[in-house]
Amino acid sequence: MENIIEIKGLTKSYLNKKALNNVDLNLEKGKVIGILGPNGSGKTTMIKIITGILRQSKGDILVDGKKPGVYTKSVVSYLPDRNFLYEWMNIQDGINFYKDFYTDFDENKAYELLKFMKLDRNAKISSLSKGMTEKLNLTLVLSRKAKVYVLDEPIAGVDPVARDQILDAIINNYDKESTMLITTHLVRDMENIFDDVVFLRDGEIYLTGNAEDLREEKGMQIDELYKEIFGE
Amino acid sequence: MRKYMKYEIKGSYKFILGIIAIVLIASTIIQLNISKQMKLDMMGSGNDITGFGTFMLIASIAVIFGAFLTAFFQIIGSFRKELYEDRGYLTFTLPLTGNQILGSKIIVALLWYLALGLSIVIYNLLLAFILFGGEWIKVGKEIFNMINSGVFSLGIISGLSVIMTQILIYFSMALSKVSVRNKKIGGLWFIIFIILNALTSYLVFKISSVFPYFLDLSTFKVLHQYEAHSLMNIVGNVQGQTIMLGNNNIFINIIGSLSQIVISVLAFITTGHIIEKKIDL
Repeated sequence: MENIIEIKGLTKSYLNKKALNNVDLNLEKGKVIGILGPNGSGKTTMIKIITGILRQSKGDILVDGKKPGVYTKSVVSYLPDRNFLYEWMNIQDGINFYKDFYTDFDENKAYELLKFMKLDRNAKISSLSKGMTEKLNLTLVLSRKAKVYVLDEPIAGVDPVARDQILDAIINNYDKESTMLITTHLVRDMENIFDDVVFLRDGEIYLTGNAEDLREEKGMQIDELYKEIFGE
Repeated sequence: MRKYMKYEIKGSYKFILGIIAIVLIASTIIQLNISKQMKLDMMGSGNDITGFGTFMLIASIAVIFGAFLTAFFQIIGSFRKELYEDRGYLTFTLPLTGNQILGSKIIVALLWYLALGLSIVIYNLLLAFILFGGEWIKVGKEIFNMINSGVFSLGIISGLSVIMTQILIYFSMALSKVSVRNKKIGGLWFIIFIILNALTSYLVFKISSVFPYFLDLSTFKVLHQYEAHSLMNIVGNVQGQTIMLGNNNIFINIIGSLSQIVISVLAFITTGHIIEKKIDL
């Protein structure tokens, strides 16, 4: 199958630490890939490099055949692990903003998702709770018909009801033609949606493979495998 | 780029309108006081209004200066927020080049300065016309007659300086972000800006000294420094000027002004490059 993301020898060094160390990874089109690891394992660093907001120290990365830049930003739909919308906006402004900048944005889908998430389009972004903000951000990100979706900790810090809504939204709105990268350390809640998983440890790939194959091979769930790898 | 400008305007118009409203209210209070005092004076109150007039003039200047300063800090603060706050995750993942983001911010900043300046001038002229009537028309006419090519020259030079300063500030901020491994060091950008500003001013001064040719916008004639001096009755030899004032006319140093444009363009391109290729969030 064709690769949508190709990573070769990717290294990101900080003053006295390597956040990523010589990572080689090819991610195929049409897959949901879980990037798993505890805090500080390099998940967010890798995602930031893919989305073009962080520069690698060494190595190469291609997204849809191009180095991260203006083109890749037009085909990658990114959900950061923070509230990134401008504070002065209300929800409708957020929708208009995405519609203006991303040609692949589906406005009707955004309204459907807003309804599903029970969000009022006139609500001010600054007045939203953590869970509501996460749902809004996900609504905008999933309303694009992007080649690559990158979701950084989409269910971290939200209540169980919001968590279920977010997971349902991801499952129901995922486009089979696209690739979805999801980072999480809440593996139990998300493992059923992963086709492939990548375990990152101290900036290096510890284990990677098809989720079903790994379950069979190791005789345990991905969540248990996660605990075995990182619980030492 | 236009779309990004639209959101830049949407995000800042309330603040700018607030500043304009405060300045206009302050201007109204100042002019009403002047009008009241003049009426008392005409009625022969015997009060000396010279001191009062000076006070009102200083108050007006302080209000206008404060308004521009507040707008200026709001505008540069918005760029700083992109570099250091979460909103950068939205701005820098948009499919826009660094130049498009920077260009939009600079154009919107200039639009706000212009809007602020024009609203202050127009409102005060209208208010003065209402309060002082016919007497003011005479003064207005005199002011209008003073507008000549010299004023345009001054406008061009001032505009260039504002644009260059704004770009140098953005450049200093972008440079301070990437220079210490993307760490936030309070005030570093300001130190960089002061150094850069001093260096560029010195460079423009030197270039203007080496190429002492001036443009007279009223005749479109190029004059050597000595000719310009004699036309303006300037005694002595003043080197390195980018602008020459006197005798109801203003001459622009051609190469000095061009060098300001070149510096602005270089700083713009470099800042755009840093935004697009170097900034780590």
